Amino acid sequence: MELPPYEINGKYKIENQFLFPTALFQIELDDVDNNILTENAYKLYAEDRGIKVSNSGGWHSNFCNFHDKNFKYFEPLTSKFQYILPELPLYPNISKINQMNIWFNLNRRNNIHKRHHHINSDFSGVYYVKVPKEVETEEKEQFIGIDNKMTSIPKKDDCGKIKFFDPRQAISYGNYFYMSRYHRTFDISRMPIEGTMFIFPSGLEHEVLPNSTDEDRISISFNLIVE
Amino acid sequence: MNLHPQIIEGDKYNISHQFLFHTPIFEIQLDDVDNNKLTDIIYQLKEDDKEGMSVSNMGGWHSKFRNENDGAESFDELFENLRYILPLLPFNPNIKELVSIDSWAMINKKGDFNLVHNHLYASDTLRVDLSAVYYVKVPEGDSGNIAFRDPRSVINGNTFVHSRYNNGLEWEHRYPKEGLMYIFPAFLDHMVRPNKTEEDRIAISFNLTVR
Repeated sequence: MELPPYEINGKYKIENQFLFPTALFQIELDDVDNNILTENAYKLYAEDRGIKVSNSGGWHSNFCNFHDKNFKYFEPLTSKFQYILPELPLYPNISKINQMNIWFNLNRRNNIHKRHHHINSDFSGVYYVKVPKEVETEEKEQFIGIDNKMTSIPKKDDCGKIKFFDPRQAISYGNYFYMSRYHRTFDISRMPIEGTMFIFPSGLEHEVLPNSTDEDRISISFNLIVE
Repeated sequence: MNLHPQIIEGDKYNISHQFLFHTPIFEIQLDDVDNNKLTDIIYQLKEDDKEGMSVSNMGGWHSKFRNENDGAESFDELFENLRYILPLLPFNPNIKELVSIDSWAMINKKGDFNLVHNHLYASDTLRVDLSAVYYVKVPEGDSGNIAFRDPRSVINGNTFVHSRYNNGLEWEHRYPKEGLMYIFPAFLDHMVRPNKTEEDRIAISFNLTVR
């Protein structure tokens, strides 16, 4: 994947060339019935005690694959994969899903997913079925940014962003100037949006921050081994 | 620095292709440096110190490290260029001051190359923020490209994505050209491939500490 360089004006021609990006794909699905998926999540919740993996609190259903009887609960979503996966900018393109593991996550107040990866797969993804609205609270002082500066910011309680961690050695090697003044962060977060899917390389470490609302946050996660 | 996403228009859905955690290298073409003069200076340096030093260089001559207070006045012109370029680079806040420069000259003859290395631990007294290389003399033909290694250790375990998204490439190659400079983060591993020509390839490298 080659990115076009960015030119910096000056006495000389200076090109900023972007090497080794890590892909994150964001897809908005406008034709998935999230009410049915929500019902399915609660149906499965009633019969499946779930498992404990990266989830701290929260319900993580057992993993389902194509042959599992519960796979039907995910079909309103998985039926759309055929329109997405072959479009991803890979060479050659994805032509087949060989294995799929898929599961529901139900996060209630303060539930999180600890930092983890899915390295035994090729691509991983998450789809947001039910996303509680942000709740405005009063302004709070927080330590933010790479310099950990105490800053007063208008605070909104959200249901838990997904945070991706920088996979490069720069951090463990230490290159503080570069990290703090070029990227200005060690991680990149995305706010969940109902009907939106993220797909990313399975090796990319991520975590889910606490649900700070009183409503349930429901998502579907999946691991794919593809051809 | 954030990159804008590319929108892939699919038959049914649009896909926002976002680029996370890229690693920048800055390529600058300097058109007003007297490379003949620098070539003469570097051969004289070699004459005065035939042994040089052995670091990443396999075969080639690597001068001793030189900073501004240590006989490196001869590279002043390049130091001035660096002082002009660095504040233009997209750092936030911008670079205000070049605190320290360590520099050295390299002559690679036929067959000489440089092993994989980075410059983070080049000095035990100063941290190195950025590194740079400037090409003084580049013979025609393949005199040895510089190759930067993918800094994501995770690629080793995510072979599908690596092969289909990165074309299976662990290295990004750049080809030297007289008057060309690369500036890159000090942590980024790189190597120089063998000079396959009969002529000398001459470069000057820098370790920069900035504010």
